[in-house]
Amino acid sequence: MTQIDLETTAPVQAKPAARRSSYVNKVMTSPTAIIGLVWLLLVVISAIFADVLSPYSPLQNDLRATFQLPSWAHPLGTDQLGRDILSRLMHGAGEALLGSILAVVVAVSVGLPLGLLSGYYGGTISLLANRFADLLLTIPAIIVLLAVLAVFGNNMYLAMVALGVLLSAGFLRLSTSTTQGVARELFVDAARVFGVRDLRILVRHVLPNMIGPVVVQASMTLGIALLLQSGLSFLGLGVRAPFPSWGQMVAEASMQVYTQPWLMVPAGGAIALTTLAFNFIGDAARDALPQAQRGNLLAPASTGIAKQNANVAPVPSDVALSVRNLDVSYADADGNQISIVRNVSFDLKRGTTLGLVGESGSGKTMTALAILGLLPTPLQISGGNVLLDDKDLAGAGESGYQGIRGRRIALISQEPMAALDPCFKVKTLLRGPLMRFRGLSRREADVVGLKLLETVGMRNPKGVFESYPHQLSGGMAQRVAIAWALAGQPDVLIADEPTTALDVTVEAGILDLLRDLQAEFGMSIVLVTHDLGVVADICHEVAVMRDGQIVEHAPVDDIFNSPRHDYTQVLLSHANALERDLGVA
Amino acid sequence: MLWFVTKRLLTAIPTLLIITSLTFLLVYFLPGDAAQTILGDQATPEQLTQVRQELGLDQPLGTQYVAYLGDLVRGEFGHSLVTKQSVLQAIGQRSTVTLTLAIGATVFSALIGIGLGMWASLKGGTVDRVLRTVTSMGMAIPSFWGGLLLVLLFAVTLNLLPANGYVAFGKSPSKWALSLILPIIAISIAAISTLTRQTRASFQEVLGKDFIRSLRASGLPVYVIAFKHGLRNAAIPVITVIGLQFVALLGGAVITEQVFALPGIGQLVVNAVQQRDIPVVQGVVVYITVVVLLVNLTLDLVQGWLNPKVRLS
Amino acid sequence: MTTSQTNRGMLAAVGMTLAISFAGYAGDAFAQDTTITVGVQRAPNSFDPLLSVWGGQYQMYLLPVYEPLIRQSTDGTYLPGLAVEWGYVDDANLQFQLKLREGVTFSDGTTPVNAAAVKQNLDRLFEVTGPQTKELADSLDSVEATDDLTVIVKLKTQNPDFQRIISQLSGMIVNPSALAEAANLANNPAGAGPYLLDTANTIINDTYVYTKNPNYYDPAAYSYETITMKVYADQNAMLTALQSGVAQLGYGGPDNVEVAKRSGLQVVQQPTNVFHLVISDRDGAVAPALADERVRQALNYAVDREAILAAIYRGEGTITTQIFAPNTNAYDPALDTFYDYNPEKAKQLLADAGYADGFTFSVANLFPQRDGDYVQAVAAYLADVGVTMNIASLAGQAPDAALLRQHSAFVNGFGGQGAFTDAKTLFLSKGTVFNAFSSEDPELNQLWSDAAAQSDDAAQAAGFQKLSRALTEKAWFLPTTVVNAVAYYREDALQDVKMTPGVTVPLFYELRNK
Repeated sequence: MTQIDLETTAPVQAKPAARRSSYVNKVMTSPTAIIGLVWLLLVVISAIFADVLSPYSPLQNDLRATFQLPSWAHPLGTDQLGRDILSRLMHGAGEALLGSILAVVVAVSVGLPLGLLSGYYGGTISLLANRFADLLLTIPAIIVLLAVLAVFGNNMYLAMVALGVLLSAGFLRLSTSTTQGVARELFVDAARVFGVRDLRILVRHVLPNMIGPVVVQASMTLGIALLLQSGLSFLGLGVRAPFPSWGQMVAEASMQVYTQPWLMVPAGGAIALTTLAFNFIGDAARDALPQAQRGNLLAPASTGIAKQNANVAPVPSDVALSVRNLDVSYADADGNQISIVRNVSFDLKRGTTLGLVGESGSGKTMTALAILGLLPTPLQISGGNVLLDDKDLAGAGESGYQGIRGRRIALISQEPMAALDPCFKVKTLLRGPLMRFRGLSRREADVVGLKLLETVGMRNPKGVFESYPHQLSGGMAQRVAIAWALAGQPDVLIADEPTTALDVTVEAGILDLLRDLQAEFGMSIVLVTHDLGVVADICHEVAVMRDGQIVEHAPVDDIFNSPRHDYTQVLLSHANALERDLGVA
Repeated sequence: MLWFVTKRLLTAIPTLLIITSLTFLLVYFLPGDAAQTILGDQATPEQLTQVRQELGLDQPLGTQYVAYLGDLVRGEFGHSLVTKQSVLQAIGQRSTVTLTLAIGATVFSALIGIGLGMWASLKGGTVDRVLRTVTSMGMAIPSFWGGLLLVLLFAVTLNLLPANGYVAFGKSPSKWALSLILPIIAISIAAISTLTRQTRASFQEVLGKDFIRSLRASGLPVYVIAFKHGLRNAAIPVITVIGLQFVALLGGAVITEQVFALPGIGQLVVNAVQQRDIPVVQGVVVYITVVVLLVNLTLDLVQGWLNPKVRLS
Repeated sequence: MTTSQTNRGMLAAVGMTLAISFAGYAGDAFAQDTTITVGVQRAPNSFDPLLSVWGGQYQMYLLPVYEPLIRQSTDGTYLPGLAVEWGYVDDANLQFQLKLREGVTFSDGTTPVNAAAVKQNLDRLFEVTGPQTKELADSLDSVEATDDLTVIVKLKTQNPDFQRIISQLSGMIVNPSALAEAANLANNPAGAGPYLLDTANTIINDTYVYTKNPNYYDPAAYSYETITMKVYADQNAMLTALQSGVAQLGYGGPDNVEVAKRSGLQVVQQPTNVFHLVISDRDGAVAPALADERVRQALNYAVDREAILAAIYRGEGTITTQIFAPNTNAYDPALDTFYDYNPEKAKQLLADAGYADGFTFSVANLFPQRDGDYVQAVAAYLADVGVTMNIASLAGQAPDAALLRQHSAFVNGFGGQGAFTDAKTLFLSKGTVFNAFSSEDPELNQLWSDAAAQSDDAAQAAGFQKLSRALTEKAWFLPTTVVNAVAYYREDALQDVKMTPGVTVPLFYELRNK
């Protein structure tokens, strides 16, 4: 029984105007959803019109025609009393569906409002609602249902109401998290400012965003309710023989399982297929929801470009890394290649820093990640070369990066905290490259690791060594990340906005550190940034990127003193203006 | 860590209190006179008095409640109205089977489900799509039906495994294990499917995190990242799901015991429900709640061990 | 269950899931010479002999722990039990003397089985109300212990079934020291039988384990070290248990006779139980229509007994319209077909009685697992003549007159002990399970008294047959089928299992291992 669904995430971006029709369209075009809906429609129709449609009365015995296999007269055969199985299935469908729907309706009507309130108001309401959900999740549904049946006699619908209350926990949690997400969105704040009443906000803005996730949860819950209900009637509870119920039909079939195995198929199949239909619809509804960014470890970094790169000009000896005509793209839903980075080329001279500058979306970060073969799926290198010495990394595949990542080229990323695995201590992280690339034992690695932490200016290296990432400040975390990057003694360091997430004072320290390290170890650095102040501070050369292309590439002084490209000029004026307004970028 | 455990134990108390109160009130939810409902219309006055006494109905509500809680604390769960056996003894005799089944199935489905989930997530493509459909089906198969089909195939047709019955571990460990294979598989099908999906989702999300990129950039091989870092991070939410699965599997065990003629809590409570043997029903509800709370506590500890943020905050 | 066992169990569960081994499982791996596992359909309601439900399966639970006064053999004669000599000592057959075995003690090893103990037990018949106590108590005058080992039972009226009765539940002698706390007997039997109930390993309602009684008077008589009785509510579970050797003997219905034979199990069966509806509301207290004899006859005409026999009981039995079983002296073959299958006549009778549009009544089904299909089949036939019979499933509930008074009829399968007793059980005693509404009919009473007074066997049989005919005409019951009692056993574990007349199961003391 899934009540917390890790597959369904709260909407990544809430939309003020619900695009419901497109969502429904998306669900309805999924083949599994269509299969599920068609089956459900059949079940619903046969349940509603059972009296008219079923070939026989579900109670009509024919003791002289028992255990018949499927035939024209009895499409699903007959049971131990010669009753037509199809007719019994059709008449049993109503109870099965009504019971499950009842449970889900109760679950939604209890869970959704509570979740809305708890997500919107937070505080005590949220606390109480959460405890309520926890409580419900602690109780095995079947035991409660048995207790309800014991007390109230064999009343299946009452049991289903009780089940609904238990299952409301899932809806409560889901609607709480969705509401929290939406409530934080700007437009809700805006609505509040304009004096819109809370209820109106909930109904107009929050509720529409919840429809998708609730549909997913509801269809899965319908399946769960159906399974539990048929389990109870399998046990003979809530059953009123001779009236058919699906679970009871399985129980009856089980009595003949050795002599008449066919009997197991129709009733069990009906339960399984109907549950499957609910699941299929739920899956399709989930797929239609906006998806969060998800990674894939094994996706190839490049696509079929190894051949075209067979002959390339050799890299000059003073160049640490040469990027030539790099293309990065992805295939959209229709199979069209969409370019993110186009024809980017630059040489990184040994011991220097190259600034890759541009606004967000300009392709600078993707260029940097492409060098390491770490593009997020579905992005891939679709052309060009990444030359380290004379080795082309672009077409080399995952194995080609062996001994390169961490050892020759290291990465420092934007969010230092997010870049460190929260589950492991700093020392564990440092040990990885130290033991792998320097061939150290664990103990030796710890000695070197501590020294590295000192090198990056950590005041309390021992304490940091034994800390988990979440116990560090942002600046400390970035220093740890730098120490980690240094562990493999790389020639090239790729720093992706290394100071963006940090305070100004910390930023200066980190930049100083990078400069010092470059001086000490002679590393070459690719610095990705949107901050021209940082560029001015540390870079030797600058490449300005816009829309996936390098629009200007020049020594740092030329960029600041005589920017040639219009866009560079715009960038510079923006930076000046910001500095005037805020003191920093 | 001690504080962590204490805190978790303390939060379990209100849950336990609410459940026991509801259980206590079970008798009052019986429509009409509880003793009459239990015994039927024509019960003799002596029988009614006796049942009222056994249920404590002849005293004021508050007194009864306090007495009830006191009894529970002392481990006194009362006696069955039907068999006259002590409820605790009845539960004690039968709990091994049910717990072995539920815990065995939880471990089994966690191992398989996490494995398949990782596989789906790492491989992607066809493997992922096929597993998605297969797990959808797995979640749709009623455990009692699946159990019967397993019996038909493995016990009746192939004669590889015993069809039913339970052999005590002390009697013969190998027969004990054989007698549990089919029931455990039967109740695990849905749990495996659920855990496969949830692990896949969780794993996918973790693989999209920045630190995975950093780890790759640090030169760590893919399998170390997947199994050491990915799994550990992905396991944290999955542990919560495993806890929920345990609750579901405990429920599944109740039904599946009927199929495999296993002398567990399920048989006890189903009989009790049919006979309106309220003390037994009450006892089982309280017992199961305690078990679930204990298992959740254990999983909380595992989660705390996996997730330093939880442990150290 | 100790904690360490549980822990080991859990550890092993983990281990097992890691390394599933299919090897090593052989079909008969479970059979062992010194133990036997017997599959039974239902659990005993009480180990107090006087409170136990009557029936072969229930006796199976009690016989190992309680030695009866005398034993019934498979050929219908009686053998010594606690008594070594027994018989009437007067001409009127009203004084029955029992000479007890010397030097026998109860299972506690100290309390002697003597005349006082037997008297105390038989006197309980006057105090305790159990499912079958009334039948004997009504004819019982007094019990005297004339010396340490001699008991004389004085009867008010002749009771032709007296020997049979004291070979069964009423003849099982309880340790007098346990009678002080008789309520404890429910789960803690105390007798002089060859076995003890191993309460530590017994799981009530599921598994009952017996170990040898070291104080039994004839220790060599039984070879099994332990006996296990395992409840299988589901016939198929029982069958597979036997097929795989988990159990060596099982009592079941006719459903799986063919499958059992095919899979190499031995099958013994004999016609025993008459399956019927007890139309207990024959005075019309709940459903007034049933007070009319024509209505009850109509119900009897409405049912196709041949079809029921073939479809529900797989042809393992015979049809009947009388309530007395073939092994009783009231049985008259002519009454097997007194009512034919005649829906038209049924409708006519209903119309004559003013129920042309039918009526509704409720039937209780105490054993839905066993009788679910049967009662649904009957209900469908009644529906064909316009009578609606609502089925109330009372699974797991003990038969109880109060419970049954909420319904007009109930489903029953009854094996005869003897016409004298059966008549009392089924309809002469009042306020009992079978006669919940306390119906009474002077004619039936008279016929029974007349028959009981006959000392000549043939004359008595003729008298009881007259009673049976009158009863069939009055249609107090709706009998349909004499169903074979069926027992399955494994040839490799047991030799030549025989059934005792009138008993649904091969009795425990008939079992011999191979």
